[in-house]
Amino acid sequence: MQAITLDPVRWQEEPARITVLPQEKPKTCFQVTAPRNIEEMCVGRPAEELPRILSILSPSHHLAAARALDSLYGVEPPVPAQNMRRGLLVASTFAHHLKKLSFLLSSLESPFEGHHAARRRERAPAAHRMLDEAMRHASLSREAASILGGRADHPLSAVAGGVSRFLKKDHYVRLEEIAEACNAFAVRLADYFQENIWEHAGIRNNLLASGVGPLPALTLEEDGKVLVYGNGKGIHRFSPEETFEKIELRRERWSYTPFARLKEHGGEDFSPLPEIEGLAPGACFFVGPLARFNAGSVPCGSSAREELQRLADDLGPFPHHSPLAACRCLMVELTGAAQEMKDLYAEPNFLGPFTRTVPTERGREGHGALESPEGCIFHRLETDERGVVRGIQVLDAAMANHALRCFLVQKTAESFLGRRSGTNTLKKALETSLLPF
Amino acid sequence: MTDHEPKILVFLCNWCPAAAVDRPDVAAVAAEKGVREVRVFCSGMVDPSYVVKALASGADGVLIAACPPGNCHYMTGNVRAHARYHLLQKLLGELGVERERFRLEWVPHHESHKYLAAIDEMARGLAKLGPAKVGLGRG
Amino acid sequence: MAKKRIAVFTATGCRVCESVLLDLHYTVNPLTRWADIVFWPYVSGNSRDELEKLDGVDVCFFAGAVRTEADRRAASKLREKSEIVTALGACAAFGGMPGLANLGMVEGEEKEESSPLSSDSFPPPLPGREPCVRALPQVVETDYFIAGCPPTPPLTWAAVQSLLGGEDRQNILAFATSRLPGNVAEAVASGALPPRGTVFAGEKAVCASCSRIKEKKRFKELRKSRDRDADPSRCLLEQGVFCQGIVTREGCGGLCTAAGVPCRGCFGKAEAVYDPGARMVSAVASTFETLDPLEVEKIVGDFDDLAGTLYRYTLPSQCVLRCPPPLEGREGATCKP
Repeated sequence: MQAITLDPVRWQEEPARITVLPQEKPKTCFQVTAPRNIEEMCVGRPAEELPRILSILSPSHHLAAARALDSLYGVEPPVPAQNMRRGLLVASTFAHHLKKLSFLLSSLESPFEGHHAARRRERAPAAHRMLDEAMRHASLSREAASILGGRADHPLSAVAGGVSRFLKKDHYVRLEEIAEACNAFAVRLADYFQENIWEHAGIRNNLLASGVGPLPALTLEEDGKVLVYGNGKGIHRFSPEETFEKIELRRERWSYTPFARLKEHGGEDFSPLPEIEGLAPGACFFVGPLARFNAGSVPCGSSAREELQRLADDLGPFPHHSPLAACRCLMVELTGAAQEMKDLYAEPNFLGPFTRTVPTERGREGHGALESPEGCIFHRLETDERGVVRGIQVLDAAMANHALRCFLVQKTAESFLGRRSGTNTLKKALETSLLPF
Repeated sequence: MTDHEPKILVFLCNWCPAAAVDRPDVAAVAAEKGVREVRVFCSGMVDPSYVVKALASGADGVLIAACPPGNCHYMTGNVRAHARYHLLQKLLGELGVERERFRLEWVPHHESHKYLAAIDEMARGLAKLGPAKVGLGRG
Repeated sequence: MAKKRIAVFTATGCRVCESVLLDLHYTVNPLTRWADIVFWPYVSGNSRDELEKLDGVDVCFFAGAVRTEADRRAASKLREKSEIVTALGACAAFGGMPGLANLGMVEGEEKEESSPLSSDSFPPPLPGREPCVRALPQVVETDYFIAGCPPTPPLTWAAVQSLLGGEDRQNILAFATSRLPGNVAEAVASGALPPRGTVFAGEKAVCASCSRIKEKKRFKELRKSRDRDADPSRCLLEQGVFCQGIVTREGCGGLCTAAGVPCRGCFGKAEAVYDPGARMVSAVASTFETLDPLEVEKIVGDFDDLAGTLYRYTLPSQCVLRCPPPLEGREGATCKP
């Protein structure tokens, strides 16, 4: 039978391709089809440029690069600057999760179909309106990100030791308005999904068709340490500076993005994971909202905790590994992010005498780690005596979750081909299972 | 060692350097060395873009012949040229253009031999380097 | 009036340029008022092989730099199928930050290669990396350019309106015309398409829209991280911060300088500039406060990575000395726009 190909994979940030050979035991692969070349962009650049260069990866990478610079210079940003950076992260988290949830909604309703057409076909016009509202609130949160970050999608404001400028009077007013609106909407959206989406057969089938139990979760704990958690216990704990000693990035010939693997995986048996050439399941892990909750994270605010309870009522206690659980975790974090925006976006949090701690000396190595909306990310940079970058290592969510996506594709294909569904159904299932990761 | 015959573009200031050059014997020797001249009223008139364009369009080397410090007819044109020369040389180096391809020479009006020596040295250096590896369409 | 058929595609790049379009669709006016979206893999799930069967596309928005052979094939195919091809964002228009990879390549030095797999192997071979990164106009004839990393919503909307048109053009076009240079605005207002090759941005430099006060053009010395912050109300270049607004096309409204960081040129070079790096060298060196040669050498010694800074977004198509070899059929397009 003909190979089934998705190229590119819908909703994925990098260009990716899935190939399925539909045979007795289907053969599948997930490949990233274009290189990122982070090294080529960064080596040779002055270290101070890195936050702006890496902002093209995501706002979180902008912030992680700034943290690496703080570490390089041995400075800690003043509290108002830390709050501004946190404010940017929270707004980006809201926007990121909302975008994914909107894409999920748009799997029901084509985003480009007019309201009239939708009503004519008696499909849920409410889904359409909700999609509109969702995208508008995503835009609002991006406005907050642009106030805090200078620009929403490729931010500017995080610099070595702090941020580049204070906010203005009207910014504070606007931020509070945005937080209020996003908070109200998050609750409405959560209710809407609870009533119409999580139980929707079409969506639920796709999201429950596979799972990647029991891959361990990698997260950053409250105390700043990195935790790898699986099989009900902590397997590894180390400080972020040791990340690139504990984790290797290995590129296989068939994908431009490397795989992240634990060098010593303590012999944990994760055998229910499918065999994929080149990947020893025991060395893999995953990151992201689901990983955070699997490792015991607690969301901010009562609405978020309520949403977490709804998840548990639906699917049982953690740990979870299905895309459905992952999508529900997006909703929990969305609600939590909205609450945190409300708590954080107040003028006193952003005022202070300085936006930046001026560095007095510079080392040769810097580290930055943070929990981004996509998952835990790590930066490590090395400079020469002039402060020009000579080496850089970035572990991003795409690399950390590369194995997970390969496994998910395999499991989804096995599950759907077993049901003898059509090609389009399989494609939909593949796209949807990968959406939350 | 290649047989390459380099083409050198000289931006020649019309005051001191031109006086040094405007002698038949000097002009002939310079032409033999592959020199093409562009007369300017002051070395300070030479925009870095001209240098870049020259190198991109097939010149193997560019020389700016300037009045010595203190002798500029327009007071500070030559020292401005010098500042631009240093910064541009740095940029060119990062782009893969060898140092020998761009040069600034102070040429007093009575010292033609200085001009000729500079041309000679440049031509020999460029012959060894061969054609430029960067330029329009060469990547 | 029949709706225009549009395609949106990203080669090698992030998804932010596409998200700008999507955002406009939801927050300003639905694109579907004037257009049928026939190919948008990121949002609608179309796949690459649908390109072959695609019927005429009226306007294609192409984002991302051309990095792999798959990118190049997609660019050619979309050019073949589209009436108008618009480069969306700095990567497509100029090469973008991926273009910095070209700096490492002198003398045709090849980078480590991927895909030595045979064509019937599994997993299937990856699309090979091209020897260098190219901007879209260096691969196919490109009609319009929307600059910026990412492109700003107002200018993107102006471009969308003037290219997609629609029945109620007149009312909406007033906005488009207010943002663009005179000749482009006239064309748009009269219902004609702007001249091919138009960059949807201003013609002057960013300084024209920057809100900071410019006083004396003097560059004393390079400001470093350990210096205290520059005065937020005064021109950055005058305070020793290396800001490229002076050679960069305006249109963003001076976003970066307003946020306290220097311009890095994501809108590409201003209209009257031949090579942005050379022009910047001229601007800075001509205004050194000191005339003493030894001090000049010292200041120049302080600068790091001129090439990577001056050509941050524009190396493949606007750095005259490092333009990649022209592809067949694109001999005239070594450096544009």
